[in-house]
Amino acid sequence: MARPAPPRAAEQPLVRVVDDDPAIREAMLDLLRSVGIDAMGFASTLALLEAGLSARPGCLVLDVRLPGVSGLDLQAQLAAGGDGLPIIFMTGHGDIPMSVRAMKAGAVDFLTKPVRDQDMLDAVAAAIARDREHREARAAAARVAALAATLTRREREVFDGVARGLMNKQIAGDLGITEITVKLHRGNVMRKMEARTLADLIRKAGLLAEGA
Amino acid sequence: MMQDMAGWPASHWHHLAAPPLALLIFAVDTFTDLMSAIAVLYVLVMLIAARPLTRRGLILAGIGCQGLAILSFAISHGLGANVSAVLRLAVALAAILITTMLLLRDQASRARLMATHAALTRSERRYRLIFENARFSLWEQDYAQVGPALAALRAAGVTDLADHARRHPGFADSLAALIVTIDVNEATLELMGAQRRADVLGPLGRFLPPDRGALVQVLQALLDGRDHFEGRGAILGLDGRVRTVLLGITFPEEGDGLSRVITSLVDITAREETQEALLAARAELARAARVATVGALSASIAHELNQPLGALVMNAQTCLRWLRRDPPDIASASAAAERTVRDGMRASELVRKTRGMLVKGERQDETIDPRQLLEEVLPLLDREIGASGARVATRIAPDVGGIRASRIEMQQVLINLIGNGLQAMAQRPAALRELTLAIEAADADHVLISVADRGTGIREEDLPKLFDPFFTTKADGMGLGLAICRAAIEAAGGSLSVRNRADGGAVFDCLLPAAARQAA
Repeated sequence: MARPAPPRAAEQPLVRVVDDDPAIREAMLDLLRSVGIDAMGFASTLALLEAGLSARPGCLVLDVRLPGVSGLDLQAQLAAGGDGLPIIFMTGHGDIPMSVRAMKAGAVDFLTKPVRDQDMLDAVAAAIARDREHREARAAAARVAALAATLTRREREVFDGVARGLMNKQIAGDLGITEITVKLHRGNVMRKMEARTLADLIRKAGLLAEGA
Repeated sequence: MMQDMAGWPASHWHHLAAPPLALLIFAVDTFTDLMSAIAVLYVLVMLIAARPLTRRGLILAGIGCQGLAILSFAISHGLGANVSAVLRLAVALAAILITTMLLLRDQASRARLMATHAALTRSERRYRLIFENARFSLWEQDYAQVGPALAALRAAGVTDLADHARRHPGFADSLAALIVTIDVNEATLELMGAQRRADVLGPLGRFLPPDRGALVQVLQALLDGRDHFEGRGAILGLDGRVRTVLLGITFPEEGDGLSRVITSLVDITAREETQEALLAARAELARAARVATVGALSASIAHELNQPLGALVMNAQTCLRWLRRDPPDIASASAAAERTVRDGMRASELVRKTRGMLVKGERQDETIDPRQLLEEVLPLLDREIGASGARVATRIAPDVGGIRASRIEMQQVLINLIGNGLQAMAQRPAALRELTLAIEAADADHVLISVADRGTGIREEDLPKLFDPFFTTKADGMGLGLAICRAAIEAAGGSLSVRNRADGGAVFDCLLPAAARQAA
């Protein structure tokens, strides 16, 4: 069986492995390669940050104890920067307080060395799936924001009123315009926001609010 | 007793009869015409009057009586006395003089006697006070019946009582019953937890704990004709507690018999317990330090080892994945397998290096005289040996040289092995408990120190794993002692092995490298 060719390079997931032990890095990369997952190794968090986090989906596999910036510190740093790459931690010994901290901060999994290959692959698959979902959600929010940007000020005001569940009459009263005018704006909003139903429009309003 | 020695049985008033008697004699002597030496009767006056008179009074009374005799002679005969009358006067005067002198002598000797007696009483009272108020326990005991029993043994040719006691289990008890306590002091009541003296007096046997070792030693001292004994013993209080005591016994000269033997006991239980606690604490500290070191080392070694092992496992798993593909990716599988081998080698190298570091890091070998080693170790085990009731025999070959090892480690090894040996014999009859420590030259380059017990030996199936860490046959054992012993001896370049004796018991053989002999 030939390895599945990626439809588009940008869509192909990439796993970044950070461990100061080259033997572990090598083993990890080859394991991932054996199931057709692209992977890159880094000796330290610094090396990872210098290489930059590309747009490709995927996840990070970090050793908890790393020279310089530790795995947990990197996790905190990435979370603060809004870069929600899922993280799988590896540790030499089952350090419970550390694993609790990592999981609370949003780690996908916490694996103890030596790691069972299937556990690692399952964790990587779950992390990639989670990253995909995040990316899709972020893309949808970005699209809605782009549509909302085409609305006029008055249309935006009517949109907000609808999103809050107000009736046309109430919106007209609030804005000091006639109900007919509200209906006209509302039709424009539905068209510009590419909403086929009122429910669809309200969902997009929700995405906008989240992105704000 | 005082009354008997000092008193005259008559009334205190009889001497008041002396002056009238003197007057009566004077009257009879002067105014009657009896042709006899009436004046001799003044002797009676002297005797009656003597008791309350001082020395001077006695002399005056004597002179007075003589004066009266002479006066009455003068009155009745005047100057024309015949020879017989003068002779009678002379006899009377002589009698009075002799009586006076005898009385004077009697008085002086009585005064001396009284003074001596008073001194004796004071001395008696003082010693009684010392006996009573001594802050250590004193026993006055009657050994009179022990003497003949020992004499009989001596006549039968017995010289080693310990040996005799081992062969005749009832021997010590029968002799203990012959020792009778006559008196004890206040401190003894405290020591024994007794309310009244009567609780403690009588046969001694009931206060001796089951171990008769000290008693046998005391009897041995008596048998050897020594005049005193000092040593350590134990005594069973009325409250059932056994006290460890320092024992001092003085046997009087053979002539006095053994009916008054003074025994002193000093309670050293608390001191011994403190000592014991100290030793236990020290041993525990050493063990804890060892465990802590082992713990810290194993944590760091575990961490170091986990890296290559983690990579190794992952590579092996990946290798399998490459092989299970359809078709198998042999090139990738080989690469993974090669990495597996490399990681395995790395792990192994790490173990070797750690071991080397440990062994080198802590060794402080020196040249040790094995005899001295035993001398250092045995006092530390004094209590254990005493408590075990075992005999410890040493057999040291004459020409054994020094060994090359760490002194502290060798001490620990011996303490461990001897302690094990004593424990192994705990269930055997006391007479059979014997631990033999032997030192001999195994060959030109090795010295053999062996510890042989007469316990139950080691079960065949336990022999191969006896030195494994965490293997133990003791209910409360950690299973580290022998493992550490073997490690210590091997670190010194020697070997530790065990074998069962054909006639029961186990022997641990420590073969240690001999120190190069100094060129003479």
